[in-house]
Formats: sequence, C-alpha cells, structure tokens
Amino acid sequence: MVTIALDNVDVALGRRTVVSSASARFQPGTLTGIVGPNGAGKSTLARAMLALVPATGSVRIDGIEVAAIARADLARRIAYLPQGQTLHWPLTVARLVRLGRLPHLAPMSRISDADAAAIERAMERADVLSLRDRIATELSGGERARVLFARALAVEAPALIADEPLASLDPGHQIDVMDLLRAEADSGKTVLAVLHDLTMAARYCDRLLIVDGGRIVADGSPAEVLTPDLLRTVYGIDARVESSGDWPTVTLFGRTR
Amino acid sequence: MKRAYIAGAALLLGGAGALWAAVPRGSNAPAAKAPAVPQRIVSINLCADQLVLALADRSQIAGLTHNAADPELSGAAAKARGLPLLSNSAEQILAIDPDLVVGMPASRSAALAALPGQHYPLLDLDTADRLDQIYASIRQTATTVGHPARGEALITHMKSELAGLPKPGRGRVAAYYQRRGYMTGTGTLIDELMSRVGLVNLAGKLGKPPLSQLSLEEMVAAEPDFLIVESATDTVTDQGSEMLHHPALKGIPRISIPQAWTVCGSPEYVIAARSIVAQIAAIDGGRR
Amino acid sequence: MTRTPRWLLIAALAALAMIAAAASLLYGPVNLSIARLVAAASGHGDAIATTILFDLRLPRTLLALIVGAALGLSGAALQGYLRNPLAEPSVLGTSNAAALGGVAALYFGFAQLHPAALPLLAIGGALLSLALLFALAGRSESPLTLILAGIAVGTLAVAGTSLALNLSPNPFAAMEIMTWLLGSLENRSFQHVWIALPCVAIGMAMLFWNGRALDALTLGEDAAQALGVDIRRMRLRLLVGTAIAVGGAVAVSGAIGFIGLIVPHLIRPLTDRSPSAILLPSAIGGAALLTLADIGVRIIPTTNELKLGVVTAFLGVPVFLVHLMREKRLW
Repeated sequence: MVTIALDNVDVALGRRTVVSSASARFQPGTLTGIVGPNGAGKSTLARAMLALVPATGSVRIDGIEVAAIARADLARRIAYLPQGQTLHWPLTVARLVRLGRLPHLAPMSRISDADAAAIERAMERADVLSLRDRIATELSGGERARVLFARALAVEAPALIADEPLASLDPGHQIDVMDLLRAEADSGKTVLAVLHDLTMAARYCDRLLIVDGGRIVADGSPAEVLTPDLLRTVYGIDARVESSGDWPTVTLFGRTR
Repeated sequence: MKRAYIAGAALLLGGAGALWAAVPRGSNAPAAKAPAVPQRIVSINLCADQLVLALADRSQIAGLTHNAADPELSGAAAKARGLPLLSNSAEQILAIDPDLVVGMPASRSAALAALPGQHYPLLDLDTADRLDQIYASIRQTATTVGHPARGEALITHMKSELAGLPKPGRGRVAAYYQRRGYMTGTGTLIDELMSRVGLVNLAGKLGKPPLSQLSLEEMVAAEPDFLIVESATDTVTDQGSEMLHHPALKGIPRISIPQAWTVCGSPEYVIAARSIVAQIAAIDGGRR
Repeated sequence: MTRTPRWLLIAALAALAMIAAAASLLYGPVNLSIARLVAAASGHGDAIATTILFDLRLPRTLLALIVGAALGLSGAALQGYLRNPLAEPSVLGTSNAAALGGVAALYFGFAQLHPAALPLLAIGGALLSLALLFALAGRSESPLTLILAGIAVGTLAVAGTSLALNLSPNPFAAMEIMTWLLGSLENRSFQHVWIALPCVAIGMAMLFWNGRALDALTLGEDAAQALGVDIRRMRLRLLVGTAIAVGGAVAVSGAIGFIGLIVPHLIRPLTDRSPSAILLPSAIGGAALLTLADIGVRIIPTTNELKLGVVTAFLGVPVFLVHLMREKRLW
C-alpha cells in the first residue's frame, strides 16, 4: 500500500518553470490518468514523484519526504516505466525483464526462485512469453513496448507510474495494457498513467488529472472533468462528450485555435 | 594559356637558379696558414676543446664549444670556466676573426661552410680510438698552437703514469653497458682502456660490432666479471638508466667512470685508467 | 542462438591466460630449455636460469596479466557506462593522459623523491582527463561526440607528453617517448609489479562493483535511478576506479591501446550481452590477450623490440573498422 501526496510542488528545469503549485493525492487501489497537451509538464510531474528531478514543495510517499527515502527503498515501492523506448544493449527479452528484479536483489546474490517466478508472471501478463528468447532491440515498436511494460511489472511494487505506456501499440494491445493497469489498481496498487488517448483514459481511470502549462487545472472523475469547455480551453479542440455508455466518449471535431 | 606556361617555366627556372647560387658550397681555395703562435684560437669540437685547453695559453683561446664547461661531458670543464663559449654559429666565428680553427675535422664544419669567403687557418684532428692516436693528436695540436714542448711534456707524463699502472684485470671479462643496453665493442677507446688494465671486452668475446645492444637476459647469461657504466647512469633519471639498475644485474660488480673521461681521446685517458684500476682493486679487496 | 554457459566461458578464458603466461615464461632472447626452467622454478636450477626466470621473465609475465586485466576491464566498464561499444581508455585519451602524468613524474625528478609519485601522477593524469571527458560529452546521446571529445583529450595529452619530454633536463628523455606512447614491458622488474598491482586491484574492485548499475543503465538514466541506482555515486566509482586502474597500469607499461576495445567486443557475443556479464570475462581476456601480444613482440624478429602498442593496434584497428561499418546507424 503506497500513498503519494503532492503539496504545492514546483519543478524548474533550467530557467523554465515546468510544473507549478501541483497538489494531489494518490491512493492505493486507484488508477489515475494524467492527461494534457504536449509540453504541459505531465512527464515532469511523474518524475518529480520519483525524485528524478529537483522539486520544491512537498512530495511524500507514505508520509515520508521522497528526498529522505533511500533510492533502493523507493525503487521497491514504486515501479517506473519511462516514456520513449530506451534500450541500449541487445539483451534477450527474458534478460531484460529480469532487470525489473534489481531493487530486490541483495548485492552479490543471484536471482532466487521467487525472482524467477515474478519474471515469468510479468512476461505472461504482458503477453510476451513467446518472445522470451528474442533480442529486444530487434522487436517491433509494439512488441518492445510490451516487453518494457513487463519489465515494470516484474518489480511487483505496490505502486506503478507509467509514462505513455500505449505509445506504438495497436488497439488490441492498448486494451490489453489498460486492462493490466486496471487489474493492478484493482489488486490494491496505486497506479498512475500519463496518457494521450482521452477515451482510453476516460474508460479505465477512476480519476483524471488535467495538466496544462504546468498546473493541474482539473482533478476528478472522468465524467466531471471531461467537458467540452475544458477540452476547448486546454487542447484548443472542438469536441463532443457523450456519456451514453459506461464511460464518457470523446469525439473530436476540429481545432478552435 | 601558352603564355601562362612559359611564364611559369621561367619562374621555376629562375627560382632554381637563385637557389643554386644561394647554397654555399665548400670553398675550393686553400686555407690560410696559421701564425706560429695563434692568438685567437677557436675550437668547434668538444674533443678539440680538451686538447686546446691542455696545451694553449688561456689568452690564446677565443672560443670553445658550449659543452666545454659541462662537467658531465668535458673532462677539462673546470679549466673552461671563464673562457668564451660559442654555440655553433657562423656569426660568432665571423666576429672573432680567428687565426686558427680547430675541429674534428674543422674543414667540414657547417658553420664555416656558411662563410665561404673567409679562409681561416684550420686544424683537422682525427678521432682517437687508440692511445697512440691520442699522442699524435696532442703533438699536432701542441705544434699548431705554438707550444710543441708542452705537447711532448704531456705525452711523457702520460706515458710514465701509464707505465707504472698495474693490470688487475687478470684476463677477466668486462662489459661497458650504457642506457637501454647499448654495449661498446672492439676498436674503441673503451676497449683499449679495458685491455690496458687487463680486462677482456665481452663485446669482443661475443663477436659484437663497435656498438650493439645486449638484452638483460643475454647479459645475465654472459656472466661478465665486471660491468663498466658511466657515472651519470648511477642515478635513475629515465627508463634507459632504470634498466641498468634492474635486480637481475645485482650480482655483477660495477665500475663507474664519468663519460667526460672517455668520450674523447684526451689526457683524461690516464685518469680513467687509474680510476678503473682503483675500483677493481677495491672490489677485489672487498671480496676477500 | 546457443549461448555459452558463463562458467565455461570464464574457465576457458582463465585457461587461455594461464597457457599464455606459461608460454611467456618459456620465451626470451636467451634460449633456456624447459628442463632448465623447471629446475630453476623448483629452486634447484643454475644461477643464470634462476635469475632470468625470477628477475626478468616472471615480473614481465605478471605485469602483462595485470595490465591486460586492467585495460580489458576498464574498456568493458566504460562501454557499459557510456553505452558506446567504441569506448575504451586509449580511444578516450585516458591512457595518454596517464602517460603524461608518468612522464612528469619520471623525468622531472618526482619519482626520485618517492617511488609512489609515479603511479600517483599517472592516476592524477587519468582522473583529470576522464573528468574533462565526462564534462564535455558524458551526457551526450551521440557516440560521435564522445569519440571526438576523446580524440581532443588524447591529442592534448600526447602533445603535452612530447613537450614534457623535450623540456626535461634529461637529454635522453625525448628518446623514450615511444615507450610511453605505444607501451612496452621490456626490462620490467618486481618493483614495477608492486607499483601496478595495488592500483590495478583497487581500481578493478571499484569497477566490478558497478555491474548491476551498468545493467540498469540499459534502460536509460531515469529508469536506472527508478530501479534504485545512485547514478552520481556510480559515475564517481567508475571515474575513480578507471583512473586508478588505468593510471597504475600505464605508470609501468606506457599507453597500450585497443585491449579495452578488442576484448569486450570479442567476448560480448559469447555472453547474454548485458554490461555486467562482460566485466569479468573482459578482465581475464585482456590479461590473456596482452600476454600473447607480449610474446608476439619477443618473437617478431626486429632489431629493437617492437612496442606493444604496435601489435595491439594492428589487432585493434580492424575490430574498430568492422564495428564502424556494421553500425552505420551510429551516424
């Protein structure tokens, strides 16, 4: 069980203020979507929660300031899936997913049976078992995305922050990943996902944070937050929001600005 | 287009001609004859410095090489202090207007070749690889600087010193070992020094040329009775001298003599011989 | 692709290193029969064989193993950290900077004040060059920037070395430049072993420590930090560890290039290609390769013994070019 609390968080990168006055609480068992235009500061907000960028204000994990938590300890509490598909060495898929177990390995030890089991589970849930001996750098964009997701799952941390996990995925696999994120949340984990697809976000997330220009401009359930007025203000688009199904559907018409 | 080619060719030929005219060639005119007692003697060679310093008056000497005052290289360094030291410059020689230039040899000096219009009296000395050649050089120099008697006196003194010298070598083998493993062979002054004190040159025994390189392994395998080294290598200042201090050589007794005494065929030959004899005696005495 | 089991790879490399070391003891300018050498090794040999074996060939062989291991490991570690298969101490100019430090110590009298001055100044040179390199290009995603920065640093160090040797009060210094810039193990003694061994041991320990962190870096710095890696501390360990290992090695052997490039490149296909898997095999492989190269310079019949850097360059440049042509996507 991990609770993430942000209070008045500012992040400055160079001379630019990328995030200002961000306050939010993230509880176990919820899937929160972070949406907003490009360059709004969504990724930076996520990175601030992992102490990957210096931030003023308070970022607390389970009540403790994140800066006071040892890196190794933080790694066991929150798993992180960064955006982009950085992969520097041609490792096999199995070897790559194994990297997710690093926070749990004692300094000079080999991987244990428990670790091996976690790796298998992660690969199975991400549907990459058939790829286990393939070289990860030779996979298609979608396959690689699932493999990296498996790596994040292998950490089996009580919290998961995923930055644009649906990039490069076909609709079927997008649904698979969202289903997984939902299942993780339902099993009691604190899950955050930075998303671009508003309908996906609306369908799966308990809660949406809309970030625009470094500020959180809306925070609530998808139905509350996704209004045509907000979409016009934030994205500069003309859209219709329908709530006929179980979740709001956003249909885009065109640009306003 | 053609005009450009002709102009270019003319320029090239003109340039070549100018270059040809400008390059100094050796003067074909004979050197002038030196006065009986030259008053402005210039020496352009370190070994010639030694002889000039030993045989001429200080007032006669107008210029020596800049190495003359370096105690590492020049046996007569102390005597050279206070006398004018020249770099290898034609200008300096021109300014002095010497009445005798001593070299080894003097007639092929680059500095003099730059002054083809001048015809200074020259003394060409030969490099001395043997004692009798040293005596010949002494005689030649003494006569030319106007003090033949001094030459004879020096030779007599050297002969008497050497006559009384014992031969403690007793046929044992020695190697003159330099930086980086260079070893001096037969037909050299070092070789003669060794025979004079009764040592056999390892290079001769192995059939090596006048200068060769011997690896540490080969030196260890050759098991010489003595190593002769130049005293500058007694301290480690570079990898070449570091090699001479390798533990593999620690079992071989060492004789150390300054390079200044052996690099030139000079009166220092006697001092070198006496030093070697004394060091051998000390080593033998210490062993007993 | 059937992968070689790790234990088999390490055992095979260790065996290769041992065979190379044994051969190195058997070979030299003086022909000693195996019988004589064995007798000397067991303490019953004649004086000549004993002196040659223990005072000359043994330290030389040990140094080939020690220096080779240091260079192989630091190449593998640098490649892992910089995510660039072309990184290694000589390409990055570190070896030349260490040589500059060594030259300053030996030819300007510092080494005579205290023998530790030699490795310390060599390590200092390596440290400065690595710090400069990391400042110039450590964060860059482009391998091109890194190589160019390495060329700049290395060239500066070579120029500095040449200048230092010519300015030295010792007139023989300038003649020894080739030993420093191309490397040689000729005429080494146990004194050099005692200089190199502690530095290389400490440096290598610091580098081995980074294995897991280097693996995590496969996913990029952010992901690695999120997996618990302290990037700043790892960078420091890597920088200092490489400087100490390479500094200690270059202080006694001069700058030998390409071992750190060739060995990881040859070993990588035999492992799971993760950065940590390459570390130990590269150290052992480097020891074997340099020992073999050192036998090579003794066998090749030249008047003066060839410099080690010549042999490693002939071996290394083709590897460099193969990699260049295969990885056209680098630029």
